[in-house]
Amino acid sequence: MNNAIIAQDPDIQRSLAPLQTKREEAKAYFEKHGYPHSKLEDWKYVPVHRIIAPAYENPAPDAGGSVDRDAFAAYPLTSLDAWYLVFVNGWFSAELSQVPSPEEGILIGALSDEQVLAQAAPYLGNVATLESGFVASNTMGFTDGAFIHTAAGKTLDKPVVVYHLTVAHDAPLKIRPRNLFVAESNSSFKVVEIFAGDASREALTNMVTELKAEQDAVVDYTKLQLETGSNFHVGYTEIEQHKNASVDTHIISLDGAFVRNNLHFRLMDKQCRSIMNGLYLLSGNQFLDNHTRVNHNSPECYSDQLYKGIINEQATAVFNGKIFVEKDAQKTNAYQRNINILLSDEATVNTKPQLEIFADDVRCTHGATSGHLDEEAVFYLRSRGLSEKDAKRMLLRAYSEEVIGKLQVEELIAPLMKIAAEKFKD
Amino acid sequence: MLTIKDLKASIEGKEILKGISLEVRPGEVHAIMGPNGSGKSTLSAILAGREEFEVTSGSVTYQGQDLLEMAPEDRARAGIFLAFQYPVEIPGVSTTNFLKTAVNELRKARGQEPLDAVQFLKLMKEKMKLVEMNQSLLSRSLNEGFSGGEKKRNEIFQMAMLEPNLSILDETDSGLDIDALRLVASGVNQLRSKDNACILITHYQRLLEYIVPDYVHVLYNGKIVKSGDKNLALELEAKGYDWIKEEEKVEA
Repeated sequence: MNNAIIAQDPDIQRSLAPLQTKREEAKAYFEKHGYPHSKLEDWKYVPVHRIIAPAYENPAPDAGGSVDRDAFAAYPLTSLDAWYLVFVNGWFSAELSQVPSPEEGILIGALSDEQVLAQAAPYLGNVATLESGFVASNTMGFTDGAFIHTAAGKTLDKPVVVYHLTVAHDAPLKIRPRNLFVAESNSSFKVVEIFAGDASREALTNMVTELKAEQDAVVDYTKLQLETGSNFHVGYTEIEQHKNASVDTHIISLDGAFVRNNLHFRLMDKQCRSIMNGLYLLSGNQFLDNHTRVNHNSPECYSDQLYKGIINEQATAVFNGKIFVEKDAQKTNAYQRNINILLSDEATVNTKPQLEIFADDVRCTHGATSGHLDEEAVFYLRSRGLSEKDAKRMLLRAYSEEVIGKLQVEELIAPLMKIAAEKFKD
Repeated sequence: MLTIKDLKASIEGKEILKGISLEVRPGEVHAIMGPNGSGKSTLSAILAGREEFEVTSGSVTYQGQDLLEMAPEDRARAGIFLAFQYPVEIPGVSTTNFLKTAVNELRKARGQEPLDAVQFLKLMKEKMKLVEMNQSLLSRSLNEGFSGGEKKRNEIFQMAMLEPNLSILDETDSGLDIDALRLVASGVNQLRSKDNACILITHYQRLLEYIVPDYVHVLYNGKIVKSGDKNLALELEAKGYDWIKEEEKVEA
């Protein structure tokens, strides 16, 4: 069966030797393992069969040109003060994109561009490991994606928005974006991945983003999920940090039928700083699973995680946060918090912190709570004259703002608060 | 303004209030005193609209309306204000934040135009002086990291902003040092007028040195067992609650 899935993959010819090798490895992995299933601990709550069942078609490269500027402008967050790399159904659209004029030491482009691909190839597949069939499938058959490279000491003047637009109406689509972000030593940039679209058919986004932050690099990474109710999303954001590198991540999931996010950090040298901000607002029958992992492989690093969720109606949320502190990683500071508010009796949350600590001189804390909205606070506000609805809305807004307010691309805060507020209108 | 008639209430089958009657007219200040467990908090909870208590008989009428039928927000909009004994902490919501909505909800209920941001700030500045509140406290998450005195001053500040007809101060004096108590009391005194009324619920006579009541009622075992003027509070202070308890025993 695994071979049958592989056989359906279009044969995207990429002549570069390093890529061919990765592709062969991925193929071999997939032949052996296929997609993950719920007997695996990490996929216990995930109905993978549901999202791999449709007879997906693979969009062709001309998908990139299928949406014009006017149509694009109707989607959220398409006119920020930022550089844009826009992908439609996984393929680059030069028309919708806006990149800075070439500058020594800064490269922003799409992997479908042969010249960009040649620059990216040496790095590709080195951060993401083949740990699931989704990574393997992406590695063997990825469509297109963004490449950002800043040379030593360079700072990008504006954030880069990598906009993944999914438009699926005629047939179910499988979309496999692959991004690679490399910050050389002492360089810095902000990148925002936005997933949005319009789909009346199922669309499976199977994305892999690799981020390498070299010594003293500073990177801010935001992933916004604004997909539609027909979208399935399995995402891997794989991050490798070197000495004294600092990476902030913000994973904000506001829509999509099915979401599995994997966020992995590997801290390879001393004094890394890794921040994980997460927010998920679920309603209807949405399913969302956030798996995070921090490998503290080196001493004196700091990681701090705050994931908050609001789960309404029949929605389901899963949180699994792993922290591994290796034997040599002394003086590690690792913090993790997962907080959930359930707004209905039918809403479900499964939360599991998982700390494995092999060093003895560390400070690690974790906490997970799931409960209802603070009734005392609701009563207090009502006793001041606010309606019950307004009181609840105000509390949920404040709750979400703790995460959204931390976004470093500040222009995103107001529109996202508005989108979040829409979710609690009733 | 407020008429309580033979009010009985229980929680989980246990009767807490055993027939309370009280008449509060505009311009009056009533103090309700009593030892722990006498039913003071239950009374204020019922007046505020908490749902955990079951009213088994009696009635509460406020300005001709059946108060017990009104939602907490409707009570507020009709001019009732409760200063909480334990004001709740709300992360991420500042006083300024919710008070603007609250003030405008109340104005709407009174048929007034909503205040814009500038007018609202002006009103805040004016009322802040009453309890010597500072702006930074009002922009912070409500009550998070506030001292006991700051929490209670914030309650009185909100009272000033909302200009209630009837204020209920639930043990506002508890946990306050003398300076904070003076500030709170002076705020309340400045808000007194011939049109509004106030119910002070308190364990100690101390607060009544600063806010002089027209009437003092002693609540014991779910009933008002004694009513009088401010001198009753002094007598209680001198003799202690045991005096009331003894008298009750004798009568029983």
